[in-house]
Amino acid sequence: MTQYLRLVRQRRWATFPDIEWIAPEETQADALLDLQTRNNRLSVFRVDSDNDIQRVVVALAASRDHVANIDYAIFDDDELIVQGIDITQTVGETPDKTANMLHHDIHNLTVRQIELLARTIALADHTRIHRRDIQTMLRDALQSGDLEPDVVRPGVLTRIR
Amino acid sequence: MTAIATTPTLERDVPHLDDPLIRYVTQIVRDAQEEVFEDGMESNFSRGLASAIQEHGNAALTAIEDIILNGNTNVEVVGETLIQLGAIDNPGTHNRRLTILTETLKSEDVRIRDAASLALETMEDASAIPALESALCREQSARMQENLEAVISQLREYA
Repeated sequence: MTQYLRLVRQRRWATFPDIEWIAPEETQADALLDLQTRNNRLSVFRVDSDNDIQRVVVALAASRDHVANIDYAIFDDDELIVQGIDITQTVGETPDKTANMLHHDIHNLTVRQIELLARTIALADHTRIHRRDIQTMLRDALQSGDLEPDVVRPGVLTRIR
Repeated sequence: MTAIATTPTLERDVPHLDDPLIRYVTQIVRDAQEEVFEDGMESNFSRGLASAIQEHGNAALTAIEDIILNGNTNVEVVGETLIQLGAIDNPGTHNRRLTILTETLKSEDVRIRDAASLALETMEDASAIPALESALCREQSARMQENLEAVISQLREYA
């Protein structure tokens, strides 16, 4: 079993009873906004440890225009493999080379597979890291050298300096 | 920054339907239906809202309340509006934005309450804590209770 991290917006995945109009075990259609494919691909990060998760979260935070909370889901690939979903390592495009090596694409995705992925993520562990903690993590990464300041977006760099 | 076509300084605080500001906000909301928003990322909509608030201050907030927050705008756009109200750097409208966001914590929709709480966190103003504590007392969603507790905890560091 391998675990992957996908950036989401937590409130798009709110379910019954928090969302009263939705049937139990259903997922809001707006969750699909977090699963928008490009060229039938979806970007995820393989995470084998808490350190990997932290590294990826910092890399994603540094890629943004501004410092903000990060919501993510961690899901297993067991059911995805059974259903023939193909996950391949590709180099990521974050400012952190180490995090980029953890990047994978789920590719050749079909509509049916997106539905399965949505159900998998709906049942996955969802976590939010709040803005102030993101600031601290970014600051630590700059101090330790995990992140180079010249590759961090100006809006983020200004905030954490 | 997106330019507003006609940008007179509005001295009153309740724009009319034929007002350029109302037309502008209506248009950016219409365009926003086609955007997919991501936390921490700018969008045409966020730039448009910022432009309106920077130029028109509280009059823009009145228009935003009328058209977006009190209208039939979809939840994604309402949520993004709240996030931007928390993020914009405009001291002249700080108190009004704070009031809008704390009032929005009373929304019946958990997704809107969530966006309002995140926006208040971004404002870094500890005076929002009592409203957040009241929201926490009312909150039925376990996940939202967790989120509110975290926001309150983070804001206490600014007290």
